[in-house]
Amino acid sequence: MQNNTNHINKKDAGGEAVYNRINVLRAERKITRRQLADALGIHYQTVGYLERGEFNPSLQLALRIAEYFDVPVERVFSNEPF
Amino acid sequence: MVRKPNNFTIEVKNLGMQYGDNQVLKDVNFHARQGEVLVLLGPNGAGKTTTIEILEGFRKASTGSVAVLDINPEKGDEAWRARLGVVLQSWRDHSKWYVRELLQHIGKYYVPYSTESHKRPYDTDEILHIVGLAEHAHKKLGELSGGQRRRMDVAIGLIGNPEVLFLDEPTVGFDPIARQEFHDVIHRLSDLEKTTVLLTTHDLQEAEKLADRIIILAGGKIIANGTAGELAQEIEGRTEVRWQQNGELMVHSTKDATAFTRDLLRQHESGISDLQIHGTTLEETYTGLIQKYEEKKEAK
Repeated sequence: MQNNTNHINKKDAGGEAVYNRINVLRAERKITRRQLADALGIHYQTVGYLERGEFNPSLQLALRIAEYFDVPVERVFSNEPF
Repeated sequence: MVRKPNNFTIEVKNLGMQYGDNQVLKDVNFHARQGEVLVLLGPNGAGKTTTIEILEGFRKASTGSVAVLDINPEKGDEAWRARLGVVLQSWRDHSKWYVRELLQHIGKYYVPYSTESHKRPYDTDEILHIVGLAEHAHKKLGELSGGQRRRMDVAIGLIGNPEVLFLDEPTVGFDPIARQEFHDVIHRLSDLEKTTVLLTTHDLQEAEKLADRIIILAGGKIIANGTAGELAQEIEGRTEVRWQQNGELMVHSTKDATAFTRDLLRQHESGISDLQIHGTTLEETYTGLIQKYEEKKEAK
């Protein structure tokens, strides 16, 4: 599994960091990256990119992720670390 | 040989095949034109090999009608057979023969069937070169690696300069370069020699690269038949769009990537770069179609 050494720190990269808990929610519900990818219509690897914060989802995609886990969007995404 | 455009080199109508109580093919219909590359996909046990073996004349169909080069394969004579190339799933004999010697020997059988317009066999060294075995020409078959042995199978399939070529999982054991070279061989045959090629594979990237048309078999039935693009449309897919916006990497998924991209670029006159659109791959289409088939089966 990729670890934190691969984590792009957005503050260093000059962007605004958005933290997410996709990884945690996925683990709790025992959902594979593949299942989430299929449900959202994104590539398997992209789930990893999102989880590691390398990519930000569009607003609509963020809402769909929250919808998929059936939680409010602020349970999945935050400007502060969880 | 010039064929009329509606003149099919392979024609399969209502083909059914039964082993005892086991119905392995049900009402299979398809055809192939001269120079067309058809790829047969499907899970293990879907009936791909049985279909090919019926077309090759190695098995007798239970029902329906089949024609290859206008001949019913059950009644095909040697002259008909000389116009076909066959690469079976595995072929492990002749280990004491030398590569070039065996190919030369097999080629001789085709000499009586050579015509002015269609020379047979191919030049042995040319084929060895095409399949990348030139440097191993003087080795014994038993000394070849698995991938090299498979190239030899392909060489044997090609040596008679076939008008229709059947290949059952030809690239099993090929390294990426060998695979690429094999794809070049197929393109060359279909484009330059107008050979009709029917092949099975489990490598979906390979199918996407080679196929003019893809036929998906599941449970002995054709569940899809079309170009990779046509098949993709049968599955309601989403397209992934990625871009960079003021240094941030963004991702979105949409059913209409064109409309989304148009809006995105309209909204941001500058600051958008590295735009990438990832459409549905054949792998996703295939998995989707097989899933749909399984669901339908369970619902029954």
